[in-house]
Amino acid sequence: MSLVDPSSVRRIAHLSRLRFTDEEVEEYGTELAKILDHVAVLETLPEVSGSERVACLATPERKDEVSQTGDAQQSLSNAPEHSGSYFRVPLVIGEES
Amino acid sequence: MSTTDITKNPKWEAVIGLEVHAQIRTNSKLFCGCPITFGAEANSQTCPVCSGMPGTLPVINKKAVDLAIRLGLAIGSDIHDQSIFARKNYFYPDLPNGYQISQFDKPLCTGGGIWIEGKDVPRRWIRMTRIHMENDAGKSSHGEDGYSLVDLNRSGVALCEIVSEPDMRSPAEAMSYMKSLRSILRYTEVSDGNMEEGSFRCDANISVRPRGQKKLGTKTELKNMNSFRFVGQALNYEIQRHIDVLEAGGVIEQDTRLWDTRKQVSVFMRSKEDAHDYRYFPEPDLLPLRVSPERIEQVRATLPELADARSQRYQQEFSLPAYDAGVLTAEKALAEYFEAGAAELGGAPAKVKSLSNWIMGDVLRRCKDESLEVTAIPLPPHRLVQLIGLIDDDVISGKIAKKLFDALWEEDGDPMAIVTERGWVQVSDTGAIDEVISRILAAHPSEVEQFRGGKVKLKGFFVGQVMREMRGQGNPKLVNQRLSALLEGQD
Amino acid sequence: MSNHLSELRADLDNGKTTSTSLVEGALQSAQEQSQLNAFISMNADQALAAAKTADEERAQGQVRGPLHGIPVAIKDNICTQGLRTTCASRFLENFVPGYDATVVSRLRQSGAIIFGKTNCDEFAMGSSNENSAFGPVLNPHDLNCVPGGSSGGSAAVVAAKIVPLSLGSDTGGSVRQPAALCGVVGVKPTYGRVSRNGLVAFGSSLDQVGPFASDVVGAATLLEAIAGPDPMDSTCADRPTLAWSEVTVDDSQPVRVGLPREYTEGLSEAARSALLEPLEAMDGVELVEVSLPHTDFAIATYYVLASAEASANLARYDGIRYGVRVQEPGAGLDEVYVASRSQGFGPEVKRRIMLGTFALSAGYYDAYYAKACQARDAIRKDFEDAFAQVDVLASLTAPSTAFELGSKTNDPISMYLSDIFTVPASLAGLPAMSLPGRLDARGLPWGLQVLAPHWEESAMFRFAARLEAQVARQRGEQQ
Repeated sequence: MSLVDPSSVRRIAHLSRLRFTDEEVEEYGTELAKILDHVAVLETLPEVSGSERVACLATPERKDEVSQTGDAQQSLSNAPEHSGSYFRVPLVIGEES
Repeated sequence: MSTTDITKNPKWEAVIGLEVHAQIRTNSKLFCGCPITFGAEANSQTCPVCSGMPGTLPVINKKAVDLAIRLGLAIGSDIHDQSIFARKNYFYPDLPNGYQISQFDKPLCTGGGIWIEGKDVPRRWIRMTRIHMENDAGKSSHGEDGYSLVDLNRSGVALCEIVSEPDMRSPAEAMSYMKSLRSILRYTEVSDGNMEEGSFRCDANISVRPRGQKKLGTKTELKNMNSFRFVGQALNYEIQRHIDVLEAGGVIEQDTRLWDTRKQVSVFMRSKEDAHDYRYFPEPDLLPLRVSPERIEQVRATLPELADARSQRYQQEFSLPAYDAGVLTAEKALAEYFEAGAAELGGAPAKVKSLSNWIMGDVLRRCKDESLEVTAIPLPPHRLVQLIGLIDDDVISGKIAKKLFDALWEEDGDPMAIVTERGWVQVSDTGAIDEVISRILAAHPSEVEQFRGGKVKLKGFFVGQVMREMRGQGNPKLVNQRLSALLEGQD
Repeated sequence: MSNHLSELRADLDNGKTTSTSLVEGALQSAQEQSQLNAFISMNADQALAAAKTADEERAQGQVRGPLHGIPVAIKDNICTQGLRTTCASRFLENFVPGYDATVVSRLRQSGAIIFGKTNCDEFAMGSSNENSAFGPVLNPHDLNCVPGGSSGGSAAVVAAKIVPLSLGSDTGGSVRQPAALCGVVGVKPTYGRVSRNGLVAFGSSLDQVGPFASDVVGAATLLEAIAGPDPMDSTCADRPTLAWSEVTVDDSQPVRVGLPREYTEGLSEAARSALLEPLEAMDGVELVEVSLPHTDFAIATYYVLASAEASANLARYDGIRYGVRVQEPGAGLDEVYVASRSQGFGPEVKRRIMLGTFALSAGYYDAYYAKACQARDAIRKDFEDAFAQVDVLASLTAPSTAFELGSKTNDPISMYLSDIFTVPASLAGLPAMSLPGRLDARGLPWGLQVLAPHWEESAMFRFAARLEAQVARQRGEQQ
């Protein structure tokens, strides 16, 4: 399936931060293609206008109040690696986003 | 690196758009109830929500929304009655969820604009594209070798992303834009707008095109400019880099670049092809943000008169020059200080100008010297007005006024009482002055002869002598007058 | 031994038993039936301590409500403070939350005893409980068969009478389908009825915590205890919780029951008769054929939307702040992400993340994600149109009874297709539940599904109670 050739699988794997062996890349390529084949039925759906129901919902807004006492201990309690009260990670290079 | 004014370049025109991220001044974070005080122990101001623990959900802060609306109104944007939050997906250690909650194709505000004006920047309108809300990420810093340290205290703080149209044409305009926007953020109390503290961050999009061409050139994105000055430097550099490449027959790639302030160059960061695929989709954990017309009007009622409108008003109402109006309105607290004084002066232009001079001069200088915020000026406006009154009434000389100013700054008191107490009252009695002059002239006959012989510069000598004899309290105008009269009159 | 909540409540009230006794019994039963592999973590000491407190409170006349002193098992994707919560994943095998899910704290407040964390499909992704990093759960009716998924463990512990009540989560059928395959009652509430705070997210616009019980009134009582607005969940609606625990069988009220044509076409004779036999024999029930024309799009729509949301929801599992971290010497940051996630996640989870990422990626969003949103709207409208004609809808919960372990694991599509009757109600956000029908030739239970309009759990429980009574009558007649 041209849709899920190995380079596409690798690109999606990178976006997902997952690694596959060459064998797995091929397997995923095939499996994904099968699923996407099935999902292709969506193409046959005629244009439908947006649901009006959602339009009246509004996200609740909370008062601007401090409600946490803040706890470095709790945040770090499951951390695989930390240094003092910081999380420790391999060197981060450059700006992101 | 060229520092010539690009607006005067006959061959090339620069096109600049700015993207500013401003931290919103709320007590708690955007999607959780964590506090936001600075300098706290790393990761002590986090909770399961803002540290991306399993099963946690966002709930939006009402005040943050109100402040974003206020900012939109101040900028004249359209506030949309329905806007949608979206996930912006990417992996980074300071982004605990692996996505930022932002707004994508349905932001809170679109349109609007601000005026820019400055020393070498003619007054011009810069259009705004949009303002939207999003959460901030945490901070990573270098740890011991090979490691970085991550602090999530800042993760989840409310931000406004403010995007301008590419309307600016020079680094000077860009800096003027940033000053103007910062003023609006501070006047509306939406943000501290402080670049050094990170509550005001700026990225730029720059391109150049042959002057007269309508089509835009390829743009590059510039990041990591951490002060107003660096923005100016970086833009100057990047404009010249574009020109150099194009003039050499090369092609500008649509890259993202970082400003390296030590080496004073922009450095390649990533290409368009490597640009993130953020895979935006509507945030399923939030419902649409609804803002009613009533709410918008309620927020509008809280808007202060902004710097630009105020500055225009000062120029009209008080006949102040644009420069003065600009300085006085740079900060709302200073403008309010000035207006309190102007009100007491009944608005007479000459007196108001005097007040303006004192504020722009002595008041601001002492604030700077003592690192004082304008809100902490110890000298109340009405005292300054009284001081000016004493000068106008010839009670004190200009020199004494400076001394009085210093005294009042140190300790508040009634200016007239101080002046009297310290014997600073100006002597304006002609008789007394004449008496001193006569004595001085009598004591220096040869100088008098030289003066009458044509050495007019000696007048200054006599003035000095008289003033010294009078311990500086002689009314300078009168002393001058009477000296002239007596020196020449005795002819 | 009865496993009905109402009987246990009566026994507690009459002093015939104590909470401590119930918990001890449950611990023993769990031990004896450990081959079911229904639990990932047990909290025997805490459960006994809570039972003791419950007994003391009861002795002082302080009964907090109908769940006071009753053990309730919790699916392992629902956070429990101080008690390991793994989501059946290697990635979280040592994760101990410092907080309770809202539903858990409500249970504690109601006096219920939190009894262990049940096994499930990893991160709730699956229909057979064969995707757990801790091994599959076995169906108590037939140990060669699956219990259904993803809440297989929660269904099994009620079916095996280890505990009377449990909580699961339902995204595309993950409470209803295991309820059907295990012969117990399972409910998916209206989307927004129950707080998702503390439920580890899979498909955020679909997930709901749902109760399991041995009968309709038990499930209704458990739902009543956990439902209601929560300021920590923006999608949890500000709607009042009604007295569903007081549901009774009232055959005098006429009710129009819709049978979606698309759910009965192609059913085997045995399947069709399992559905129609009780329905056709009920008094005061008018059966109406209705159509849900966009049913064919449901599976594709569900898998695109749920996977897309899941791909983002699972991005937080990066090994930085909690969970498994795999860091080889000299590994850079990206390496840590990739190694930790690749080792920590099982194949079905990876499959769904890949599908979801693909559906959202540049160039494909319109064809997949956007289209799926439109299809979802169409499916929602199908139900609105159907409910204009009828009060409730009825169908089978799953197209078959429990299947053998390993029989569908090589073909993900065939597994996905078995969700065809449950997925549409999830997409539309409707309340839906499964209750046991008759047994098939192998002695395995059929599940009967009842759907109601949004927020109409009362109508759903009322009809389900009547249907349950009818099934019991017919079972009695057959014996």
